[in-house]
Amino acid sequence: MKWKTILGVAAMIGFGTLLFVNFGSQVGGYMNFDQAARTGATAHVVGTWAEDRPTSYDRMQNVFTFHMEDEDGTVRKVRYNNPKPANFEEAEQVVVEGRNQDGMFVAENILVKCPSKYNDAKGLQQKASRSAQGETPATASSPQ
Amino acid sequence: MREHGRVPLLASILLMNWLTGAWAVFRKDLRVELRSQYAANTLLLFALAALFLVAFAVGPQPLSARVRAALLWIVLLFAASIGLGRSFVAEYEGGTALLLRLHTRASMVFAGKLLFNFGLVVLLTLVATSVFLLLLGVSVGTPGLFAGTLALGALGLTSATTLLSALVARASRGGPLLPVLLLPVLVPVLVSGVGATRKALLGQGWGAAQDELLTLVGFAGATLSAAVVLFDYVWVD
Repeated sequence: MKWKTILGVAAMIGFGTLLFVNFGSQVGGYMNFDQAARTGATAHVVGTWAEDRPTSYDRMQNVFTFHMEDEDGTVRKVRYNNPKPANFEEAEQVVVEGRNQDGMFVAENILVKCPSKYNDAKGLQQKASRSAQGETPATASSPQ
Repeated sequence: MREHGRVPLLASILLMNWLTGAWAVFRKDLRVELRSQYAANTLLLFALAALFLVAFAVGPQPLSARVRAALLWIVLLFAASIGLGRSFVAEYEGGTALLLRLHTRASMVFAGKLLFNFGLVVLLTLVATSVFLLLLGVSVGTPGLFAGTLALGALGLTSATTLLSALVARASRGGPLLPVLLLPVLVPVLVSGVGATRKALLGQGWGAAQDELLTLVGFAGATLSAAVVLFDYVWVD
């Protein structure tokens, strides 16, 4: 009777650990680039566009590449096999969904978080100052 | 030498006794079920009605693999949570619980009911999945992974449902309580089942669905071992 309880509880802990270790990676929210590279599975990474690094769109192959800095400061090249998302330059935050492949992050999906038009947020000022400079690196380097 | 031979003999007699008891509980439930067909009718009618409604609601639009997998699993989970609670409730309502308690040990009752419920879930899964594949015109990329996911999911679904339905049967009017208690517990089965089914529909291999399958194994193992520890208290007290 006693050892049945002990064995049962031990099995519960063992299987429970197996459950949570593997379950966590499926419902896992956001990761940084290092974690995404380690798991190798599809991940969501939050960050900002690294404007000072090269950004380009290859029209022949329909590939958009840019560099993104995640929340821990790691900068990595991101490839997206689609045209540049709308409002990409205005985004104050970018979420890329995809997986690590050959040293760069291949995104299946890009979500851009733009400052609201209806709030007097500081994002709007950023946007205003950027458009005052007259150009954005993404349009400058894309082949016309 | 004689002392040495006696212990395994005793153990094997106890094991045989236990297996016979569990088998007897299973056969009793099966016989009752074959007479009334209550649980099988509930499960299959619910699943078929839900799947037909899904097919009508979706229309001719092709769905993504994830949505298809999610629809299938939601139908399976709700059907199981509605149809499987009956076997313990019937023992209390019919007044046979006391008799069962006198003649068998708690673990035999649990094992017999678990086997019976597993049979029902397998029947449900087979029927619902084939109707689902026909109605929505789904093709399965990796049939082995698809079957494996459903089998593991069915095991986890059965063990959680059997334990919780034993608990709920003690409460008066416990019937509607079962889905409320059960569905939050089944979230890991739902998430991993949908994930692995989606990969099977898309034709990915076993390796791609490793996380999901291990989660299903973990869930089934954890609920089964929880039942081993807890069922004595649920049944006897």
